[in-house]
Amino acid sequence: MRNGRAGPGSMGGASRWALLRTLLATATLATGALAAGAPAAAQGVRGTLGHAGFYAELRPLVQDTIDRALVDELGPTSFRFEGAPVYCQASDCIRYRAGDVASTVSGSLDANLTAWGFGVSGLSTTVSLRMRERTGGELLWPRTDDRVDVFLAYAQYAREGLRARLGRQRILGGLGRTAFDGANVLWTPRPGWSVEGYAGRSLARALAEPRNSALSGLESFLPDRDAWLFGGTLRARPRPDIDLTLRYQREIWSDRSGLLSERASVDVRAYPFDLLRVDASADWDIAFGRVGKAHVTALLPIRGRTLMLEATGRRYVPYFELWTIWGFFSPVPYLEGQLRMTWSPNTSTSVWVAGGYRDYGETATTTILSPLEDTGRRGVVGGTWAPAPRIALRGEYRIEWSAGAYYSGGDASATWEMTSDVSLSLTGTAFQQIQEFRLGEGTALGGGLAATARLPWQGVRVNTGISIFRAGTENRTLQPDWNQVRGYWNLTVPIGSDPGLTGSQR
Amino acid sequence: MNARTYRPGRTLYSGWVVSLVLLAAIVVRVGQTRAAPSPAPDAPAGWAAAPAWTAPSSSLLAHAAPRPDSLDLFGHDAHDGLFPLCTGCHIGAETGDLSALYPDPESCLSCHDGTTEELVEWDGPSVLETNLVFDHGDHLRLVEAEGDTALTCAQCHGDPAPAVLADPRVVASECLSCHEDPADDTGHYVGADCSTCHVPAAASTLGTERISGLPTPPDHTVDASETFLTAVHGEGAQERVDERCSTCHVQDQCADCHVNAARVVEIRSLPPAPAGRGFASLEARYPTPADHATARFAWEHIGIAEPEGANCATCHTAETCRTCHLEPVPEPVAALAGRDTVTAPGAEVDARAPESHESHFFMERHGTVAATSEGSCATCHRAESFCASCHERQAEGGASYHSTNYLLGHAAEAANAVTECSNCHDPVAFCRSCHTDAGLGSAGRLGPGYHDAEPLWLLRHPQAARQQLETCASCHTQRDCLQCHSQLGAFQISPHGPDFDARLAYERNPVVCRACHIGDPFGGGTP
Repeated sequence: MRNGRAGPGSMGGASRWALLRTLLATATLATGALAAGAPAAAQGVRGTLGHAGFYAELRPLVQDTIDRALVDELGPTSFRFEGAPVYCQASDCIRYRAGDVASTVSGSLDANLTAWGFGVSGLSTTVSLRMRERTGGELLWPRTDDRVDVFLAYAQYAREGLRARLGRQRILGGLGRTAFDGANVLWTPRPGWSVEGYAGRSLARALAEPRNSALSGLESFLPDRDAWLFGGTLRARPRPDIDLTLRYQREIWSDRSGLLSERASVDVRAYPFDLLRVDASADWDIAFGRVGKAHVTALLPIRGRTLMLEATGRRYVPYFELWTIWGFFSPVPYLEGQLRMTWSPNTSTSVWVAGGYRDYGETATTTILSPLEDTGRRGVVGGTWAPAPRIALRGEYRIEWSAGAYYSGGDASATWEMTSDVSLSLTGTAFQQIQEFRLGEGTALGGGLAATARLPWQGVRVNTGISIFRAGTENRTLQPDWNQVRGYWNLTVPIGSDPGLTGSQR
Repeated sequence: MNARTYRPGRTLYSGWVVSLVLLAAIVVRVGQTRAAPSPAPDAPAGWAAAPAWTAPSSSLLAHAAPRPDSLDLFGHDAHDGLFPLCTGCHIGAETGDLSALYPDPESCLSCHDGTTEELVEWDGPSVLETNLVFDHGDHLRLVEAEGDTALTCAQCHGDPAPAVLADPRVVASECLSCHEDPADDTGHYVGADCSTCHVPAAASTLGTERISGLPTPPDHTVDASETFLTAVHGEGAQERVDERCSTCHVQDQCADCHVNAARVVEIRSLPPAPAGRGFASLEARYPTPADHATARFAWEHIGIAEPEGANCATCHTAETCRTCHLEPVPEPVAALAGRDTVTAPGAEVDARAPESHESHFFMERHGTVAATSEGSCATCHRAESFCASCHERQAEGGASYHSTNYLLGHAAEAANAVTECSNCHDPVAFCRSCHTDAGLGSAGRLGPGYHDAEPLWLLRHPQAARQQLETCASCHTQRDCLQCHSQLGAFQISPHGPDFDARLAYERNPVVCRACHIGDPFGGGTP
């Protein structure tokens, strides 16, 4: 495989793991299906089954090797070929150009199911899995070579303030998304107060796979072993108007040779006054001994929520696990202030506007010639309007600029709700992005058509759409063709309903 | 019920006739008296039967509420002179003897025999429709005991000048001529303890229409703030039920609004509607309590809810809560009555998002909300599938968190970390694999070929790297950087910033240090 991930035909550990995952998914699905089909009234299953398909057609960049004799040498390190800079070494040079048109057609099947009613009150199983297949084209779309992902597969027992989970699960919270195979126990002695502890085999960040299988081949210093995760969460409501969550999490290699991460976070939301709401969070990278991300947002709804004012102070610094060298490169944070407003004078109209300014920390680097910009700005203005009961218009303009990245563009759409079950949308986009030190300076225009329908059968939903983008160039002698055609379709089938509720109620 | 038919006499007769009538009056037979109401019928399941109202043993339900047909059909004035004393016919009013309250019909026939006088047909007094409790004898004795002048019939029933019965049925205003409440200008002593004069509605013989037509106490006023419902009628309800509420209302009417009527002691103590008597249903109104209208209520209400939803159960059925709450519902919701098990419709609620969601920018900071109260998200969202629809969609198969054309213009937002991409996407496994597949991956050779907009990129990249390191990692492998930033590399340039705590890093994970440093980075010493 190009990126080194083990394919289905290989005989490595990753392949065995893929097989195990498939078996696990099948077993869990079978359990859910059995539960759904069992005659006992107390048994049931709910969730969704879905299919998604994707089509893309573009010209990927390819590297050309050029004879150095054909290159204009402007200086010791400055070379041009057909007016564009190239990199030269020894007798040859390389450049990037648009390759031949390539396409991909890929599909996935999703199952998100929770089943209950196994004769033990409070016992349920949850599974969320995805099976993928690249069905055509020569373009390898991200993740499509990963045939099966089991995002969740756990059994849960919940009774009177106690909840225990065993299996593959995830935690979403102040430290982002953490997935692991293990156990999780949550005790809620009273509303607003809970203690949670979890431990197990850690999975790659934002991926439901062990690190070594998800990242091997992509990186150099990845130990071929598992990692263990330990963590705990304390949620407290010291006052009726304050919610507080503290989380601690530590990951170590299974051979205890070192840490992967050790972090803690605090999240708070409070109503210091009747209307003013404050959300705040911060995390500490204990492993590196530094403060991580943080933000505080004050939200003030006025005029009966028709006007929402927000002020945000934010600190951002990327977080890297300790097995990579990136964190040792001393990334600097930026501090940002944002003001935002959403005005919804009636149900058919909404307008929003936001602006932000950020300032990067001192990088302590020596920069030859002029230093890069160390501030950034962003702005957003947009709105929705329903001029008629079944017509909705939406538009948004965004501008973003700082060192290394600039974007100025907008999106617009018009949606016609033909019936209560069918709607059509026209979309359009236009943007300019100028990147100081990356390829891609230019403009793009795009348009598309999308449709959504709810079929008169069991609440099945179908979405589909196609978009065409045309790239333009500005101030460049050579711009790779980045024109694209994209299409998608997906279908979602709801399964079952909530216990105690009829299908029409939910 | 006996119909009372009376045909007015055409002629007055002479004194001998009067004598006969007086004689007859002495043996007058009382009109029908009504037995006290029977105990309440079987209560519905879950309801406790209200205590049956028992009329005082000496009650004389001869007092009727005023009504249009309460005319003097007998024509007392036509018989004036024949019957100088009221008690001649109504001796029971003085003695308290119920059987002697009205004359016997036979006594009328002593004159109205069809010969002497026109024949009249009267079979005794009809059953009076009344909800009053009044004992003439007790009233007289009480007045006298208090040292007042003895009452005469005319004081209540008519003009004393022609001492005849002008008002056969006393109206409340006559009572109030003595029992005056200076603060009450309604013409009815509505501020008083109703039970002093009235029997419970369930025990009265008034039709439900007449009960509905009784004067409305002033505190029942329906105003914009629904003061009566929210602040008055529940206060001291136990006393009010016995003394006031029961006069006009039956238990069933409380259940028209109260979802938990079967569990409320005060309501259970109210007599239910007797079988066969339909009391008018009350319109269910559920004024919004002041604390429900605050911005924070959606957040706080689960903490306010008492066990078994005791303080919610007045207005809310389980279904109203389930408008928002998904299974498993909180314990107080589970304890609430289901809509199909109660009479009251229950307060409707709209599934409205918390105010934080109504900001267009909520998605950018929803993580904190989720982190502080994961359970509250699960109230309305099926957390597993709802979160996964974005957090695990990962650009496959159409629109989710990002717009369909987001990918084309995502570079600037990613570089500036407007949204924290790494919460969902691994910079290596996701970003780099895509960049590599699209031809944007690092070739391992460093130069201006890719960063062609910056011919002297290598000289400027340190600042960019420290500002946007995730962006670097989305294309470059670690080995790319180590070509220079390593003791093993060409230039041995330290990548560490001034605040880098080398000892701490070494303690945490010495393996990574050794990726760049030859041997012990601390020169052989223990860090």
